[in-house]
Amino acid sequence: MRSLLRPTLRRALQAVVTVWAAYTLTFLLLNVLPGDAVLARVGADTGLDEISPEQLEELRRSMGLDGSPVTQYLDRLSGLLTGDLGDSMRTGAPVATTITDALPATLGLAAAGFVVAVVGAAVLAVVTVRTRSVWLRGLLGSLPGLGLGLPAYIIGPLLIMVFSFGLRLLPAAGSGGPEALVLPAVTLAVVPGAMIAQILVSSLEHALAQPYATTAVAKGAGRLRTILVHCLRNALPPALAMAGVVVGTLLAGSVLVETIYSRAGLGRVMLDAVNNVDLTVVQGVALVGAVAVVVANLAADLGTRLLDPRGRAPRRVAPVVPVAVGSAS
Amino acid sequence: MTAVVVGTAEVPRRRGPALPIRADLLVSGVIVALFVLVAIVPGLFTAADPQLAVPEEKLFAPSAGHPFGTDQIGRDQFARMVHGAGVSLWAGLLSIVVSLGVGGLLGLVAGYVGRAADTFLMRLCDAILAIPGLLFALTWIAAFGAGARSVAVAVGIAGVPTVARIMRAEVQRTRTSVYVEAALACGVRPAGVLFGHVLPNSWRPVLALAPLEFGQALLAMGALGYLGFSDSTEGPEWGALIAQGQTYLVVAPWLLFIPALSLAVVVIAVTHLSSLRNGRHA
Repeated sequence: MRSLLRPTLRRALQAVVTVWAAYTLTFLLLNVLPGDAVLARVGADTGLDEISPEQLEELRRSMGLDGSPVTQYLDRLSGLLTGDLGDSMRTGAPVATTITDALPATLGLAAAGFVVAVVGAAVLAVVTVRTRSVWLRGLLGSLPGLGLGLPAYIIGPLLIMVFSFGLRLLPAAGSGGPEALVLPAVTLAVVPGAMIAQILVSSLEHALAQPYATTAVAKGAGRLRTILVHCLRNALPPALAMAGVVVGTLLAGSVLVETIYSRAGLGRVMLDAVNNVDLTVVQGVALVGAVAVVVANLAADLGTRLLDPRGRAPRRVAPVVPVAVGSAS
Repeated sequence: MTAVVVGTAEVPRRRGPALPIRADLLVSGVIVALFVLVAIVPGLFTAADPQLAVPEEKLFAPSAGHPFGTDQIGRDQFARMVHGAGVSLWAGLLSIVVSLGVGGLLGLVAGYVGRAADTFLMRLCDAILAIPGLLFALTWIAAFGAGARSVAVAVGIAGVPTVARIMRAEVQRTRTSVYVEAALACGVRPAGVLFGHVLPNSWRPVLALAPLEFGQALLAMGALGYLGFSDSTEGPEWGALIAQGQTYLVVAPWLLFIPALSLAVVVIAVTHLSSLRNGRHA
């Protein structure tokens, strides 16, 4: 375990740097490159006609947009270290509070979507690899590719059409009750689930072709047991490497799902902020997204090291010769 | 004996049936070709004006006169979809030009110059990758405004890191090859080596990424269209049609499922073609 500490610390440091870089990037995009956020703000509210230079200056100060970009940036960054994301340009409320208020709803949705995606992908992958029927394998094997072409805004309205208005089984909108979470969670899960299933099928097939799988079968293990007990653990790292992408997809998907099903949450906060040119809120939500993705990558990295003892050893050991001979026969 | 069973289970999938032309490839190819044709010459498929509203014909079900029905103010939905395809196609092309152009250039510089430039550019790519694509695009829209072109550029930028990483790896591989060493030894200027020797030998894998990126761009454009950010003078993009269709879900379900399924089918066809192409490369 001690050998895990150093690489993990190094990766954690890289993660912090990445979050900082992402924050700086959004700052550059939002505050430096495009003309004038204050004018955009005023324009969004009232139209540009009736506003005096003094009023503009006053607005600028109240939004923390006076001074040079560098001082603004340093101000924001030092605020960030104390958990202060600035104030909303529209309502004046602290961005951090706005986000923490909206976060639980989105986290609940994303967690439900994650569970559906992982369980669905794992079952689909194991059944695909397990079956000996060629047509079933072909059918199941093509599902992930189809799923990737069905993002939330396509599958969601179709599910509403069938299950809410056609069969009248599940509510089409709202945040209340567990049954209101079913369709959103499934909608959110399709694309990340398809990604995971695709990776898992190919890595399971690869694992099944390895000598240790052959050994397990030779010693009398059934095909399902071979897959679940012997292959799954070794097939996991490629799927784990997708964790950042999956978390990013879940977050991006929840923006769509919250719109499709009229739910409250971080996605709605982001959309309202974009529509109202509320740049501090936009930047805050983008930062939360980056933190989530980076943390997921970090966790996946640690998980891979825990799963694969080779990553833990101080020096990688060359494959033992008898194994290579076994695979050739 | 059992080992043999484990092995053979894989063989038919890998080799594929021994048909001269695979049916799935043919179908995907026809779908993509049709989509491109519709997008380029919409006039060939419909004479109806996508903007012409006939209020007394609102929310008509699909019929001979209106193959896809009419929308809530009586516009011909088929004409709207046909003209919307053009928006999706051009926006998709613009976004892959951005991601291949910018990403290719970044990867070229990072891979060839190395050192600090490499570190800086790759950290920049990490930063872009860290922000989930849709959130990045929304941030871009907040900064530069909505509209089909802005959205296409945003989607393109979000695709830059993937392209840059592949380009960088290719350039690093090419840079150390013997012919590059020879060119440098012969006294060819660095720029000459870069564009005369390194680039011609490293752009192919990046270009192979284009169809996949195009499919992703179509999906992302649809998402932002659904959210109402890709207004265009040409007509509504398909994602926007889906959002509109959802409003009239109960009275006119065809307004929802025709654009939704069409977009899904086109994207799946594009992705299918690109995955097979890439699979053959590997």
